[in-house]
Amino acid sequence: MHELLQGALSGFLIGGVYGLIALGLNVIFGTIRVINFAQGSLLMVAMFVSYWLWALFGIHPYLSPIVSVPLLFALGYVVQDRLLTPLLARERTREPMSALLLTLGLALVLDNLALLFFHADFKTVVVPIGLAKLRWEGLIISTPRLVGLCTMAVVASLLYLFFTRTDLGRAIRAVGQDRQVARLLGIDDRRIYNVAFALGSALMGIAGAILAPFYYTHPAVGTTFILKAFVICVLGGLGSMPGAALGGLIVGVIEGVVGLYTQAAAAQVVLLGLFVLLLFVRPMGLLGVERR
Amino acid sequence: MAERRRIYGCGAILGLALGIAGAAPPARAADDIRIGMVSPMSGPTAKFGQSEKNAVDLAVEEINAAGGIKALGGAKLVVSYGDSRGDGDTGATETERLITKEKVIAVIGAFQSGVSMPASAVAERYHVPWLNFGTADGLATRGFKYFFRPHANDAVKAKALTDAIAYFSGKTGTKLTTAAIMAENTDWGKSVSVHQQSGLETAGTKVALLENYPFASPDLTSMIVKAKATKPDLVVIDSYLGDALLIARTMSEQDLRPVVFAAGGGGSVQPDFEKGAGPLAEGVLSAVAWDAGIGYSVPWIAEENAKHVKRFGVSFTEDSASYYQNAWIIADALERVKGAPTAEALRDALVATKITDPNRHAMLIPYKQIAFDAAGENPDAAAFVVQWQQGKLVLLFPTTLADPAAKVVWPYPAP
Repeated sequence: MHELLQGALSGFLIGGVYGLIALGLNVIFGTIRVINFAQGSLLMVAMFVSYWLWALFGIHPYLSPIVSVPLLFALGYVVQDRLLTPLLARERTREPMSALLLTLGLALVLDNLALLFFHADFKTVVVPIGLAKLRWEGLIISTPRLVGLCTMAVVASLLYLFFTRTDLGRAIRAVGQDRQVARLLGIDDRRIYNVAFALGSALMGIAGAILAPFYYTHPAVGTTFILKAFVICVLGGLGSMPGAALGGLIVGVIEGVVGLYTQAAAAQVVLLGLFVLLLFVRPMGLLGVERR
Repeated sequence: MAERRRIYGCGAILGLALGIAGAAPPARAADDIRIGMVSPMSGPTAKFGQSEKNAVDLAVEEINAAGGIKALGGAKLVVSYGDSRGDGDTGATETERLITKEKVIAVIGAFQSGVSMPASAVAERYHVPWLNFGTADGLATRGFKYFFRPHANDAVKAKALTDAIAYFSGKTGTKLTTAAIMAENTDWGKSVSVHQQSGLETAGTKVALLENYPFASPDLTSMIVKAKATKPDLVVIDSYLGDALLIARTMSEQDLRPVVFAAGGGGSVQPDFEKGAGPLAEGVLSAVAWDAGIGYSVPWIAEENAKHVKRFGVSFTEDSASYYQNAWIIADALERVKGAPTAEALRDALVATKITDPNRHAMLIPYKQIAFDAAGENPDAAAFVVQWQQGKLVLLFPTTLADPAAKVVWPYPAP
């Protein structure tokens, strides 16, 4: 029983981190419908920024978003404006294939540049919080993961408010729903696409800072988290911020609990099996909106 | 008139040229013996490939400086390089290129067992000897005739680890009742964990958990919680660096503190492990195919390693030491080749290899003997066990090679 609770609790905590990464992906995937294969690589860039700020200047990873968030925002903006937009301008369909391939190419470029400059070494940020833990009722709570969970809750709430209460947020959703009509209504869809992509990238700056104290940094680290993030986005409902948050927690708990009774790889099978079943019953995801 | 002078002129030049050619020493190219090496010179494991190249270059230099292959009139060795990029297909095509275009008569390779597998099959097809580095069991069970593995495979490394654990638990009077083995689910992890399990159970330790987890997982907490529930005295991991770090940290977080924390090799002996794990690395025992500490009891090895450090800034590693050894084994076989040095003749000489002198350079990794059985394995291959102590790796086992002043850190201190 104790193990079950511990497994569920630990799963809940790491689910918070998964959710944080999924939120970034959801801003892009869920709103402007670009399947961003480079999302994991952007996370990797964020983690390297956190690592180097710590290794060279002794700056704590939790302060690194001051640098990484604007940096990734700018990177995302430029990628969208200079690479993706010209591509999208040529295609009339809403979910163009070439954008997907372009983001895949971007991922390869970023990963290999990282390999070139930083080599394949595994870098670890060593800060006290990395090994810190809290005890509650005989259960162990990993402090850095708890920080991740709380950060995710805050970010999800802020994003929800942004997308429902602000003009810019609503404009992004409008462009995601129907780009042509949005343009007819006077929304500068080109700028909106840029901002959405930039925002999704910038969120990786926060996720990277959260991961740095307890996970290793490596040029291939993006691929470890990104597939889960895609599953979570769809599970929670594309475009729904609370959905991504909830999806992350659910995925974490399922993994944590099932992993206690099966080998870790089998836990993935169970998780994805449940995911597929859900899609049969509710294709728009848990909190997604039904599309006509 | 002018035409006749031109003809005489050409004739004179031709005669002069022929005379010079005739008087010149015989072309050196015909005397050189070309061998090949395949390793990951680029890609994520490029660091290993580069160190392997350094080791082979060093060996070949030494062989040539000592007079080359004396039985073949002092023929010099020349190396051709193939970059596998860490990928099986690329390794195979590079091997083919080395054999067909560069005309090498032997190939040393390939570091990753997953590359050695297809690449050695190419060498087998062309009847060219393949001197292997790569520990997976499956490499030597294919009935190949041109495959040679002088170094310790997974079974030998697993046995060294379990023997060392049995030895030290006897010496410290500790009984290790239960063990948990956590290995990554690649070919290496799966094969080495099975060997460890049988070694431990023979020694009377019950393996309560053997789990193969997905390589590069984002989170392994559930597995650690499961392992902790078995109350293991011994935890063994078979992981590459990233997972080894994650496991060590998660164990600390979940208060899993075994009496002994051991590793089958892989990531736990790399400097980045100690840098990342810090105090958690202290006391971790690992099986390795070579360690610089061997130089303590074999002076020429210490000198050779110092030479390597002076030239390349670092010690030999288990893989580069093996590449070095393989080059010297080829040289030894070439001395015994019957007739012209073809790949076939070399293969026959390799089959008859029997090196026992510990001062020969082929014994950089010291074994009782270097010889090959029908499968191409060396029955006397041995592995060694090291332990992290105060940020350094200390050789502890076999005790005959270790510094007698070295003491085991036992139990695992886990801060």
